[in-house]
Amino acid sequence: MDRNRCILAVEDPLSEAMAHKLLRHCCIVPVTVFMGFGFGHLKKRAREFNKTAKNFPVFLLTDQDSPAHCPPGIIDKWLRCPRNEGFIFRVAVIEIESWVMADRKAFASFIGVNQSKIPENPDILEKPKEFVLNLVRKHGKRNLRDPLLPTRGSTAHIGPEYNAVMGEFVYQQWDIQRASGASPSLKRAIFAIQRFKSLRV
Amino acid sequence: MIISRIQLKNWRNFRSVDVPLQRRQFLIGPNASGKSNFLDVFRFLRDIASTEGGGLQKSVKDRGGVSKIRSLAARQKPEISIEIHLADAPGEPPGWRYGIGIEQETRGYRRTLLTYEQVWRGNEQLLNRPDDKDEKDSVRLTQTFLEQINANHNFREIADFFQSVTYLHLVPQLLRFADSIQGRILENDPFGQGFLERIAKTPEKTRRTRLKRIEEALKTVVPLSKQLEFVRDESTGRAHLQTLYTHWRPKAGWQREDQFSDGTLRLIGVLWALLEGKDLLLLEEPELSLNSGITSQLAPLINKMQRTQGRQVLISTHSDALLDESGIDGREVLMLTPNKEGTHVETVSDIEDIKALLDTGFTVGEAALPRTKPSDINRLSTVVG
Ligand SMILES: Nc1ncnc2c1ncn2[C@@H]1O[C@H](COP(=O)(O)OP(=O)(O)OP(=O)(O)O)[C@@H](O)[C@H]1O
Ligand SMILES: [Mg+2]
Repeated sequence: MDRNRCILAVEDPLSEAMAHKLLRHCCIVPVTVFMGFGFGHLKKRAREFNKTAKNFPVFLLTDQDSPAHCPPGIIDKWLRCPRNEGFIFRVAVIEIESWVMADRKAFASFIGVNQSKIPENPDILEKPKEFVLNLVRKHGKRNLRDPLLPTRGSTAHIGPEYNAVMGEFVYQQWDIQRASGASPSLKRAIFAIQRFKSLRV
Repeated sequence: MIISRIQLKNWRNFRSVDVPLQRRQFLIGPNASGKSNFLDVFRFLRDIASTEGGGLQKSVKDRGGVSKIRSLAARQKPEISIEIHLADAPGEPPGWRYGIGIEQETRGYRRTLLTYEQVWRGNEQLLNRPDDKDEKDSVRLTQTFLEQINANHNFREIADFFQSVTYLHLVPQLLRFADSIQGRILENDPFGQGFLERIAKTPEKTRRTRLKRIEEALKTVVPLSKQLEFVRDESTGRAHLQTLYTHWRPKAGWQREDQFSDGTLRLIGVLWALLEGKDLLLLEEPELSLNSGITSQLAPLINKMQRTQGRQVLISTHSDALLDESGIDGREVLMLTPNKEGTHVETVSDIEDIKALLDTGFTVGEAALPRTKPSDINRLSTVVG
C-alpha cells in the first residue's frame, strides 16, 4: 500500500483544514476529499471506508460530540467489525474546536483575547464550539462577530463565515507543534498517523 | 453505431487524449476544464460532414480559425488531429476508423489544410491522403473527402453518422423570448431557439407519441401539470407548446411556453432530444434548473430512453444528484483534470483511489466528483507553500 497518499473523509471545511495540516505534517497527500456534510453521512459510509482502506488508505476525522461517547466506542459502533490497518479513524475530543484552540498563543491573538482565557487543556471542555462562540461574543474582536456569530434568532448554530474564517486561521496561523503540547487527543492523533505512515507491509 | 474511442492531439485545451467511450458517457471536471470543448469535437465532425453548407474551411472558420482551435499548451505549431473509432458496441473492435490532421497554411491565404485524412473499414484502409493527386494539387487539401458526396461514397455510412450528431444546451430564456429577441439562430440551433419549429417539423404521428411520453414524465415531476400539447397559432402561424394544469378553473385555459418555468422547458428539451434521433446525442449539463430530486432520475432515464434506439449519449455535468446513482459504472465517467500541459482525460475507474472507493460501494458522485471541486488541497499548497 502506498502510504504517501490517502482519501480524506471529513464533516466540514474546518475539519478539512485541520486534517490537511495533520497530513501535511506527516507527509501524506490527500488525493480525494470526501465531505460528509453532517454527522450522519460519514457514519453511514464508515463501513465502506473501512473496506476501501484495504486497497487505499483512508483518513477519517470526526468529532466525539459528547463526553458520553468514548472514541473507541464510536469506532466500534460505526464499523461493527475490526478496523483495517489502512484506515486511520480519529475522533477529535470533544469537537474540532478543541484542537483549534490548542494552539493557545495563536488562537488568543487571532480572537483578540488574553491567552489565559483559553484552557490549558482544551480537551476538557464539554462544548468547545460553544466556548469559542462565547469567547468571541464576550471578548473577541469586533470584526469577528459578524462572520463568526449567528445573528439573534438565527436557526444556524454558527455565523455565516464561520468555517471559512476559522479554516483560514488554521491554514495560516495554527501551529501543530504548539497545539499538540496542549491537546492530548490531538497528540494521539498525530502519533497514529505517523505510526501508519512508518509501518511497512 | 457508437463512437467507441477517441484520440485527440492539440485540440483546444487538450494536448493528448486517448479514451474509450461507452454508450452512456458522463464528463466531469472543474469549470473551464474542457468539457464543452470535448463535446465540440463531435460537433466539429458534424459540421465538416454536413451537406447543408458544411465543410472543413467553414467549420474551422466558425471556430475562429486554426489558431483558436490549436492547443495553447502545444509548444511549436503542430497539427491538430482527431481520430474516431466507430463500433457496434463499447469495447468491440471498430467497424470504422476515421482520422484527420489539420494545420494552417503558413503563407498566402492562410487556409486550413489537411495534413492527412484516413479511413479504415475494419482492417482495410479505404483512404489515405495526401495521395498523388493531393501532392500535385495542394488546393485539394482544403477539403476533406468526408464533406464531398462524390468522394465519400465508400464511407458514406460514417459521413451520415457524423452528420446526424445532435447537441442540445437549451436556454429557456432564448426560447421563451424568441419573438422579442429576434435573435439569429445559430446553425443546428444549439441553444434551442428554434426548438418549437423543430417540434413542428416532426411528422404529426411521431410528434404525438413523443409529446405523450414527455407529458407522462412531466406529470410526475411538475406539480399539477396535466396535459401537454403542440399547437399552431391561427393568426401568427407560429408553433407553440401548451400545458393544462389541474387546479385552474376550466375556463382559465392553457398556458403557453412563454409561461413555462425554466425547469419545465429544460426538461421538455432534454426529453425531446433523447427521443428525437438514433445517433450520437450531446447533452450539456442537463441538470440546469432542475430540482435535485428530478436530476437524480436523469441517469436511469437516459438509459431507459437509450434502450429502444441504442443511441449513444455524452453528457457533461457538475451534478452530485445526477451522479449519486449506484447504477452508474465507473467506466461511464470521464474525468477532465486541467494542468499546465493541457487537460488530462481519464476514465474514473482507472484512477486508483477512486477505484478503491467504487469497489467498496460508493457511487461515482461520491467517489469521483470531490476531485473536480476546487479544493483546499490546492489552496493549502499556495498558502503554506
Ligand atoms: N486553443 C486552446 N488552447 C488552450 N486552451 C483553450 C483553447 N481554447 C479554449 N481553451 C480553454 O478552454 C477553457 C474552456 O473550456 P470549456 O468551455 O470546455 O470548459 P467546461 O469544462 O465546459 O467548463 P464549464 O464547466 O464552466 O462549462 C477556457 O479556459 C479556455 O481558455
Ligand atoms: Mg461547459
